[in-house]
Amino acid sequence: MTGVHIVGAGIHAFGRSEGMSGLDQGVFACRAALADAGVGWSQIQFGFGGSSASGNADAVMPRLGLTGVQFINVANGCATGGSALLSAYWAIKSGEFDLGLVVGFDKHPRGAFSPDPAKWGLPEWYGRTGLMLTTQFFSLKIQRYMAQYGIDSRTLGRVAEKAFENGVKADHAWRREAVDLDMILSSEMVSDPLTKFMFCAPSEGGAALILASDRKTRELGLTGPAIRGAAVRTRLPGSFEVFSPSLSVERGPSPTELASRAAFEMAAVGPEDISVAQLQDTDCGAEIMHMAENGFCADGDQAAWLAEGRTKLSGRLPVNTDGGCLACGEPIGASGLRQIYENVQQLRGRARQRQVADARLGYSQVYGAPGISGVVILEAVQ
Amino acid sequence: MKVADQLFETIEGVTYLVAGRDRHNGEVLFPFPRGGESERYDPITLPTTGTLWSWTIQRFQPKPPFEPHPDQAFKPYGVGYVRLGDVLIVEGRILADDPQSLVIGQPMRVVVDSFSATAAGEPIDTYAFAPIARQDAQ
Repeated sequence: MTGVHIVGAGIHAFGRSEGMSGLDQGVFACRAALADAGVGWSQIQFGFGGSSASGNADAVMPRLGLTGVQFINVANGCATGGSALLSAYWAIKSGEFDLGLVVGFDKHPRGAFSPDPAKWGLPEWYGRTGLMLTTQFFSLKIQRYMAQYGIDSRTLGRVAEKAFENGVKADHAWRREAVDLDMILSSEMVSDPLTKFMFCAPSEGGAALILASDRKTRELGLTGPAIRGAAVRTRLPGSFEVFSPSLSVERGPSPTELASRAAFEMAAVGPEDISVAQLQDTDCGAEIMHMAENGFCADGDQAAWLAEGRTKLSGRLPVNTDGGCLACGEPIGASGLRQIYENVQQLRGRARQRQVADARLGYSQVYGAPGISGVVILEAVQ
Repeated sequence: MKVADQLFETIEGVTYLVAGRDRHNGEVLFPFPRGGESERYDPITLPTTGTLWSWTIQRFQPKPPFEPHPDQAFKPYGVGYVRLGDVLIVEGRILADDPQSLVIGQPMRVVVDSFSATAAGEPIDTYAFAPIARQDAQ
């Protein structure tokens, strides 16, 4: 089977872009990715794309040119970007195609999401009585985790402090100002134990990638990191997921644990080999729990890791080097692809002020409702 | 009036949550499944007391489909999960005078919460959980 390389990566800055639709931002990212790879749209053999709130991803085609290329719209909740990438990866790995494009974009209204219970197979009362909020889930999950493993709110605060510190150094981030720990801790409580600065917000943005087979990479003289492991997994009965009116008393592994193990196995590397990681940080608690769920530390060790700065840019395992969702916001369709974009910059030594020294293996994990996790491991090409 | 049928029952002052037990594998689900699925399940009531599994406080007024009380200004409310015996961990609103004093593991009971009202002023009830005061627990 052929190897698969990410030979181009493009992004439209995340945040709020007045006068730009979600689609505009997606098209911008596609053009940037094509230019980065140095290939023309007419050479692209297939596309996968997704958007949660900004319409059909294949609407990029009239703008890029109607070439007759096959294009599939992907809709997979918060893992839409990750799922589009996986689809493209499999398409090339299978030998069917040699050169493809993946795109994700979104533009969400301000404020928390307001999902419709019926679309989740849930009764109307669940929404009416005020239980249908993603923010509650994130708070409930970290609240229990903190009690179980002795994590305090300073540890939560340090995650946000680091995110904003890194966001200052990333051109595509939304929040570009550092926020000190005391302000994070004393900001308005949104849903205990998480304050305003500890949550990411729905935002806007677009990201696109160009993938190529070994053969095409050589033939066109392209370059870029290789995909060494990639997996998407969904939930088991014992995992704690958003919008669950009840949970089994038998607890079990999360979809992230399943996807992480599968991706490490495929790549034949372990957590200790990873140079830089982008972990889903919908809120500070999510990053803390995902450090353990992805196998980077034991439950409870996060307090020491954060206090010692081990996940800062200068630390042993820099996490969310562009500020993650906390600094970039979360345009659902684009968010998982932003993680890959950032790893590509790190592995190609283009991350400038936020560059991690000698980055060889880049890990990314996107997670979302209703219990989907996607992990990708990239290796720098020498 | 109740916010939904077959969600909870109050008998002699005690509130019971209605769940479904799968006739084939015994698995218990809350709420009782609706529609075509309901034929697979027998209705059962859940234990009326348990322990707090996790909690938070909803501090801002949610967007729809949340239904704000028509006659009362929005007040932050507690939300949590309670482990009811060895049967199920159930999510619900939490009624507590001081939700910030909640502690994971403390004893809780199922209660009724009039979270809203009809245009005619009739209360609309849902289930909730409330801490069991220490003297009650003894």
